[in-house]
Amino acid sequence: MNTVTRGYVSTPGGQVHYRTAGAAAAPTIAFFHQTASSSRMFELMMAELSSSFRCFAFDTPGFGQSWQPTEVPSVAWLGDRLIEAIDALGIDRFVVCGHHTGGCVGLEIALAIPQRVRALSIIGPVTPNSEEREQFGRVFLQPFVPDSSGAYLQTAWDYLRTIGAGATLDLHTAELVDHLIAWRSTPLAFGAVWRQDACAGLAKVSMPLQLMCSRDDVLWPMFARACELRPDAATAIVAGGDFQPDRDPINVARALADFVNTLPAHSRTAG
Amino acid sequence: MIQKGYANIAAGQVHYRRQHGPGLPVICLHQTASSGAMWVKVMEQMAGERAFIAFDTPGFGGSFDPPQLPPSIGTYAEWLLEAIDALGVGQFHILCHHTGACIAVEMTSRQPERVTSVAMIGPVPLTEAERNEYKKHYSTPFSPTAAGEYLNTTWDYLRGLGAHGDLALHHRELLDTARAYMGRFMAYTNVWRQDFTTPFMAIRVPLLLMCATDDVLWPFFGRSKELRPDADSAVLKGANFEPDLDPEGVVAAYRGFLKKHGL
Repeated sequence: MNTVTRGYVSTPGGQVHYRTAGAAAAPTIAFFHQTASSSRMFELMMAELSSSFRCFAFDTPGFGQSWQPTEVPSVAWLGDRLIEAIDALGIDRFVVCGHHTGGCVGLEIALAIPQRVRALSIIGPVTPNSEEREQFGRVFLQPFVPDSSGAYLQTAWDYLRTIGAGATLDLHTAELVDHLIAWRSTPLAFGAVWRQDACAGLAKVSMPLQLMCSRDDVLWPMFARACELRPDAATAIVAGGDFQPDRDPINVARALADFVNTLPAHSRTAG
Repeated sequence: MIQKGYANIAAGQVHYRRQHGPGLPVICLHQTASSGAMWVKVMEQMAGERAFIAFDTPGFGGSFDPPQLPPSIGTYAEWLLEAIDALGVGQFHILCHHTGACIAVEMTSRQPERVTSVAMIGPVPLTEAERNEYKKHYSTPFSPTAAGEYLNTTWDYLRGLGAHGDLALHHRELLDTARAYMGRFMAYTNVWRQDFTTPFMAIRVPLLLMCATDDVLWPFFGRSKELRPDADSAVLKGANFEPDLDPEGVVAAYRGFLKKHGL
């Protein structure tokens, strides 16, 4: 089955929305999106991968069509909420693929339930040092607050162009809608990201690791740091600015599939 | 409590909001270019009284996008009837608004035995000449442009329809309209070529007609009542967004209607 379908799964906090593709018996990959996108960003990749893998992409609580928390205490808290969704879907063992904030969330999931996470793949690892965390904590907190003049719409549209969403009008429009649905959650999630000690987590995480990035990703400067922290990690350079899964889906999917296919045979069985 | 979900039909996935409750379910059909979100306030105010299912029409909200222009408004009715089937619903009431009313009369004419009552906000009994005139104003898509100025055009258009009565509504309608820029074009194209009046006159179940005095369809409300003097009627507030801006008025009129007819 190559079609991506959508659904909701009930968790204690509310409904978590997801997209899925692939045969139930195939090895599972769980995808986690960046701020402030949604599971939509993995649709093209999932279509590429669905012949060999069972894919689930989640809308993180606060984003897309998932329930809206009023606070986000930490990235680990988001990870726990998504583990609840994964459990409710009956998924046992799986590969994690996270993009930007989704990588931060995926890292926490890998730390929380290492026995169930076969491998971790991060597209655009977020590995700020303590100075950067403090600095970004002040900069990356501006939400697009609705105002009666509608000026916030152009602000959001122009911001999305600067991070590469203007590659196509469909992508630009879809990201605008996702970013503005999540105007309340965006500063909550970013706040949690800059409070996370991702470097410590990345150094500690024990399963096979893949690090991916594109040279025109806003996080490219941190990619070298992530690779230094984990010289054992598999790496891949892809294209597409901050939107690799949308703009370079075939290469990202291929890199991920190649990485998963190198995993030990005993851990390649279905979840 | 409102739960969201998808009904799977042959053409794709139809997104809905559902609230369980007693009695036959009320199927809610939204206007162009909103989504089932426009019924949330009404559903919440009637929690425990009625079962509700508010669909996102194909091309809108979380539902699938028609791959090409549907041949008629009846196609939407057939998709939604299939979605109702998929949810295991037999008979139902309809509560609908603007384009939702256009779809409702087609559902009723196709499967009259399943529809137990129809309540519509902003009936659309336009003559062909009037439809051609409206078509000029409501069929031009707000197509995305690289500069992004279409967003403010859409924002101002929604202000003209009264969405600015509540900033959260204005914001939500902007996102629904941006998401449905193709769906809006497809639905309006079919609305303005539909003969609404014939299936409207054929409705044989209790009928409630509602409209706000500042609704764009208010000029046709008197005609609707003349065409159907047997129908109940109520005047609302809230411009083109009555269920969001005057949910108390909608609920009071709807409750009274259901009670009067023992529904």
